[in-house]
Amino acid sequence: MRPMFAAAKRGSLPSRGLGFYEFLRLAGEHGLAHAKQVAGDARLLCRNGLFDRDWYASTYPDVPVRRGLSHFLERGWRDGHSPGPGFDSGFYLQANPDVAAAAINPALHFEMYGRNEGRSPLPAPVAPAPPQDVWAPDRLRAALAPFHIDADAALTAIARSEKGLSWPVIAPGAEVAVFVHSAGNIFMNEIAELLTGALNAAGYAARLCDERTALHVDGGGETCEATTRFVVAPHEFFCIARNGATVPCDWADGAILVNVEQLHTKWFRQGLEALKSARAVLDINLQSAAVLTQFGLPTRFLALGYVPDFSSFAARGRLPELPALATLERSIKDYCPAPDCRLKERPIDILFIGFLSPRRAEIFARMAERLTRWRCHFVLLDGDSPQIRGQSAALDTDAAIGLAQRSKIVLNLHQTDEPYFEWHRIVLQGLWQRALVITEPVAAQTFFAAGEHYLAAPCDELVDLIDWILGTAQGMRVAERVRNEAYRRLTQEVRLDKILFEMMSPRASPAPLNAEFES
Amino acid sequence: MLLVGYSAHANNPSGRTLHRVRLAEPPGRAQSANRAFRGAGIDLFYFNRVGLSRMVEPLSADEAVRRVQDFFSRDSERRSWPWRHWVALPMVERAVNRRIGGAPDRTLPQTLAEALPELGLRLPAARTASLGCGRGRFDRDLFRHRVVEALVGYDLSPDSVEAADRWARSAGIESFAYRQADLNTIELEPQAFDLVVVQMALHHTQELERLYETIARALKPGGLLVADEYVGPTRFFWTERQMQAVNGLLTVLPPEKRMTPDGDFKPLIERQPPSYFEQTDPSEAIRSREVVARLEECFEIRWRRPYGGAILHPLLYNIAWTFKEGDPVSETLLASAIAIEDVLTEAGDLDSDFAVIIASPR
Repeated sequence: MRPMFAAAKRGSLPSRGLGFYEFLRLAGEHGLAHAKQVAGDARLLCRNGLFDRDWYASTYPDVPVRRGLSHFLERGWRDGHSPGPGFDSGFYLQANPDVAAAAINPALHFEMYGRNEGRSPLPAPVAPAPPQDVWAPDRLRAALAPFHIDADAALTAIARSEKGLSWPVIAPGAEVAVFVHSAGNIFMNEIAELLTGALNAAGYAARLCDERTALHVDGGGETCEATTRFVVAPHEFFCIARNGATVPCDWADGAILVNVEQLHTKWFRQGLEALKSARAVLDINLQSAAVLTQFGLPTRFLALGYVPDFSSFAARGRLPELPALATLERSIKDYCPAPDCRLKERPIDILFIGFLSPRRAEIFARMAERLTRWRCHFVLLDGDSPQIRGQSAALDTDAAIGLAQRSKIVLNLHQTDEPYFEWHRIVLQGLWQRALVITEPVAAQTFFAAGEHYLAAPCDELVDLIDWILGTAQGMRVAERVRNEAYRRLTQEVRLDKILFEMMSPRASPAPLNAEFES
Repeated sequence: MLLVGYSAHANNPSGRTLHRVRLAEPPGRAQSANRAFRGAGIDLFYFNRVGLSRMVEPLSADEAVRRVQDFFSRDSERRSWPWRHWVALPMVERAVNRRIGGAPDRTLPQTLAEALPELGLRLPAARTASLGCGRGRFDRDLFRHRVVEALVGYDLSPDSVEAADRWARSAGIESFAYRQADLNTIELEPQAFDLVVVQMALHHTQELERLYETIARALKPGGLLVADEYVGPTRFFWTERQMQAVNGLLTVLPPEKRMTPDGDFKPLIERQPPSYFEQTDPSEAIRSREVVARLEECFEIRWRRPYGGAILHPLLYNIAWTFKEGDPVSETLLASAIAIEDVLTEAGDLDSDFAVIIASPR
């Protein structure tokens, strides 16, 4: 059998037009001219396979199968029929009022004109709506924006969320464990140590633990089932593997998690599942805490304030031998000016420690020529990766704090366009070490204010401000006033032990048992 | 309809076919059209998303004030990043410093700190008024160089006044105060100021004559006016020579150097219709060409330093950020543009569109 006939018999050959007998029927019933007209239209309609005989027959079963094409051309289109699955007559007329107004066969119009004009034969497929990511960085940024300029609004949002919230309380003297991953960023360890110190100063029996306790592995010590657990930096604690094992997120159930990451970062995202499982969340950023409450997490703001006699931040008489200090003279490494000496006796003019993001690189490049006037010590970390003690760390707490104690100015630049108040750099490295903090605009705060406790300027003006501070007697007087007021404020009014005690103490209700919760 | 009318451009510096295209709303479509034309190697002129229907409607005075205030309130807090303006670039800043103060490292406040005492003013000036102070950047600079001490700043935009006040305090300056005022109607206490400074505000003023008289009355005997101003074509009605130079340079820039921070491709410059200013900042360059001539009617100019800008200002607007400090290509291109501006200005081919002037009342 010749291929064409075989295909025709199988019914897979595209229809080429009216059949011979159908043509004769039309000619007999309506005249030859009419039959020729219909046959021409039929060829047009079949040219690109717009007409589908089988589809037409199954869609409109009252039409005889063999007469489908002529039926469509003669009256089907007037009845709103479509010629096949590739063309929707109703849609085409709706989308093209000019065709509807002309009262012509829409399928023929499409073949003659519409196709070349780019008109669509079918409605655009409705794409299934992508599942909305509630925690998408853009949504978080949008939620943060109003709080950046209005600290009171952030406090109000947090206070509002506290109503009806069951917040964990800790009985005075109760045992508390503060967890941080042993292979995490040194700065996280620093925060965990500070928290432990503050909890002890607040009258709890706090100890520092790591993931070994949670995983019940080597040297993890006793379990802590009856102990209130704090976990610092959940994005590390639940994600960094130890011998192939990670702490499961459900271990966060019942624990108080301390988020230290900016909300739009991949790091925050990494810790999110654990945060969702937590009994309560503390965020070291005011604005982030307000946003997390709005997003349904039981969150409060934890101002990482002063802890008396905190040994990690004691004066560092001698600095360790670490890569970040390689360029420092021996005389600077081996001598730490007294904390209360005048700024001009500190040997380093400007200190910056942080990841060299593209944004910071651009700003530093622009400032570089003017900054050459001053003794700068910039520890620019070349990747957005954690500084791990004993491994990749270019410096450690001793080095960072020791550098700050030798610096007149601690500079703060944002990693991205988000104006976070970088508490760790501004307060722990800066104000606590009695350096003057100079920053580009930061989110509004309740504890510290620009001009009173630190100085701020738009980033293209920072170097002018620095020149004035370091280069004039008037500037240096302002620097002394501001940094001393900041230190007074921090040590007297922003006490982390008091903040924690107020936040965690049982209120009017009878003292609950250890690690029980208010209802 | 997105594209409204085409015309071939006669002064085509690149030899390519250029089309004049007016882009109406919406901006998203305008951007994609812009990109499409760029892909086809066609440079675009366009009236920045001006609704054509607005072109003939005159603005009421109140509406104009409201739009100016709105324009300056939209200026983000950290507008300095990414850099959009010519003088934000260190290389340009050095060229400007050289033109004004004779040395690339000597900034305007430093130059003024030397020039003003030579003209008889004791520094720091005990009481200064800063007119059209914006966010107070110039005021703080002057304070840091001991040019001013106590200062009162005035600006039409409440947002700018609030920001100037906040930034002064944030930077540790306690002797500044800021008030809202329109320079067209401002009243100043007679003989109250040793110094009046105006930076980039006279060219936003319609009532120049009245303002100059007010300043003259407000100055104490021996007091001085310092103006750092755009004095170029009114309403940015660029000269033919200027457009030729700027568009020629724009055309030879690599495409990545012509991207704005918003992701648009910077079009060639052209003269804007009145509606452009009505839609953006109705006070922009409103009588800028007359700033000096009107000043000379009631002030004696004691010191004048024109500092160019006829090419660099329109050329770099919105694309300054693409010229990275330390990048050899950026530095070569910038150095060329600066040199061309120097040469053409020196030859009298171009006027200087910016100048610093110190004047005293006649």
